[in-house]
Amino acid sequence: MITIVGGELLCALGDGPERLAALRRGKPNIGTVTVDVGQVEVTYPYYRIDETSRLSDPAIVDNYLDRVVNSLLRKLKLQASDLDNVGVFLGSSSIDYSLAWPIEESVAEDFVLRCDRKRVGGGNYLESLSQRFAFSGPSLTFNTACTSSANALLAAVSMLEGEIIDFALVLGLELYSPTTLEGFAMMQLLSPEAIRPFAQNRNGIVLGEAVSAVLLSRDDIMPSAWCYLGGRSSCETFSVIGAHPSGAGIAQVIQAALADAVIGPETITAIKTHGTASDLNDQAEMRGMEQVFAALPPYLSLKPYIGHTLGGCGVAELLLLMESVDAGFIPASINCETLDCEFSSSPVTQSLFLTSGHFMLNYFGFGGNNTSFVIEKMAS
Amino acid sequence: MIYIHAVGLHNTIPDQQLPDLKSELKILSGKVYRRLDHFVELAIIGAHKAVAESEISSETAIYMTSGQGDIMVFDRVRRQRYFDKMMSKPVDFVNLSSNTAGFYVASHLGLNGKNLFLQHHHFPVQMALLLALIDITSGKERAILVGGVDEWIAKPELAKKLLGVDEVTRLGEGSNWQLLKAAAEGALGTFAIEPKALNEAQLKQLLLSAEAGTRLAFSSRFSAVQVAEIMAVNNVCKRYLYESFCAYYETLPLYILNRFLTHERGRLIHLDVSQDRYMMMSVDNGS
Repeated sequence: MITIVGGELLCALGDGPERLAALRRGKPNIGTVTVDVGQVEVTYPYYRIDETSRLSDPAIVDNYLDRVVNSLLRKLKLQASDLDNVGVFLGSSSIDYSLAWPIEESVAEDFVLRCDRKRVGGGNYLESLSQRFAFSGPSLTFNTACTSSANALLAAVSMLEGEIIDFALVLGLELYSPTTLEGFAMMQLLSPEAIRPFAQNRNGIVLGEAVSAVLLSRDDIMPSAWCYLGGRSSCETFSVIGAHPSGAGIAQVIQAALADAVIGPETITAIKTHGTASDLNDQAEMRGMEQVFAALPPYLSLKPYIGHTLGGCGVAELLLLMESVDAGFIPASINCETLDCEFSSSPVTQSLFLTSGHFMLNYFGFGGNNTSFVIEKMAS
Repeated sequence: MIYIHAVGLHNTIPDQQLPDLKSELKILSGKVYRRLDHFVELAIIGAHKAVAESEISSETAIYMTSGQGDIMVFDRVRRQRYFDKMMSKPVDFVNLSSNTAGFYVASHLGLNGKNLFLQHHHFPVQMALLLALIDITSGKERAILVGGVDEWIAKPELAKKLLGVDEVTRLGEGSNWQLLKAAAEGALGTFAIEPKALNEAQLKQLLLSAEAGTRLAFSSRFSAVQVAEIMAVNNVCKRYLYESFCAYYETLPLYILNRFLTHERGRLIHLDVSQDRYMMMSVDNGS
């Protein structure tokens, strides 16, 4: 059995106790960011870790990754050298932006590239992380848009189950990028006010930053109260920017995840939805869930707390859910004062007392990518 | 070990101009695609060549890898932003995530299985094939289309700097794919890989057990001295020379495996190296 040993997260909610308090109170910390949209400056809400982040500078990215890995190791009372035979996996929708660094630098210098024939590219972050921590196992970097780090986790599970590795460090990475923000703004997918998943008045996503790390193992190597039960990823080709509004593709991947976990829908205690608050995405997700669950279990979106952290949300939202359940609750799904009148049941509007159970986590993204997996916290 | 059921090779050495893939794609597939990037067209052409003659289940997964991804759209968006002070087009923004190429391949072939875009700093092909082998062996996937796609850009000086290769290296482009399954029936050959990077002693130890007639292909990262040392380990092995058929791109190892499977018989061991770490994989299509 695959165990989820522990995790660490940097996001707009701050550090451990502060983050937990915000989740319990239903009070996130939201900032703003101003972008140039067609030569007009527009200010959007934005969930930022701090003011230093800049995705295209590899030194800053390395610093965030080191912070989160070192903090995780301290929390688990482990040294990097204790993780013998560890694979490292990274999911980010922005791995291609590693190219941005030499290109941006060159802009200031009349397009003279300064990468000194040092290979750059999507695998760069894990290569340097592995060197700094002396991790010698395999590494893989995933870009499947908003499902990136969820798919990285599924690949880590494959390698653990195949006994290629004994530990898997799965990382999610999404930092502030002007290109990303401008792209979403140009596509009119950003809310100018707030992220309101499943609400009648939802009007778009709010982006955010997260850098996260979760350590997986097998129960014969390192037991844990948390375990991964099963999951599935699939691709639907209705549209490059989203799922079919009927929810058929989403229903299919949820059913496949349940089958892989060898449980029925009635076993699910709660669902962490993708819940982006975009009109069509929430509609497709709700319809997909309704096709699988005769009665929807309690469900929530965590994006009102940390924003949509794109490829990083797979691990970041997994850790927020685990932290909350470890503290005895699941957070309220905030900002949904009035449910979309076409939906049959509301997300949880008050935090719920919960200390164990089976949890489904859903992620959907550009490229028609749908991913769903199930984890369990065993009762003590 | 898993079975290779189909291969697709698309390998070119552009000179001055970007190859026109739109017309080639139209001739190959009979379909007209508009507003697709060169990288996406390249991906579709290679995948199409791999499975055009095969029956392929709609559940077949796609594991696509690349050295640099859709670098042309990336360069275009950057130029628009910094030089032209323009917003990028929505289609360019979406294609900044290179995984959208996998979406168009799935759409072209009618697939709805898992669709991954994955990268590795030195061994993208080996890591994609390793994950495919594990997922097929475990039964998670019945069939996986593994593709390596790298585009040539009309700014070779930019590409060479980003790739970290020297100025004299000639760059090519390619889209090479393999359809992998657990079932032996109807297979072209087998695929195997050492799952972990090896040190030099481990590599030489493994090569000692290679059977007579085994061919060895070396990536361009090996020096002539290294090649000579490794060839001397087991004198029953012969070198497989592929270099005159292609120029450099990151996912070239898939071309080398596929070229061997379509032109030769026997066992090929492909060796790659980075910073004293060696990756070893092999294909075998019998004697």
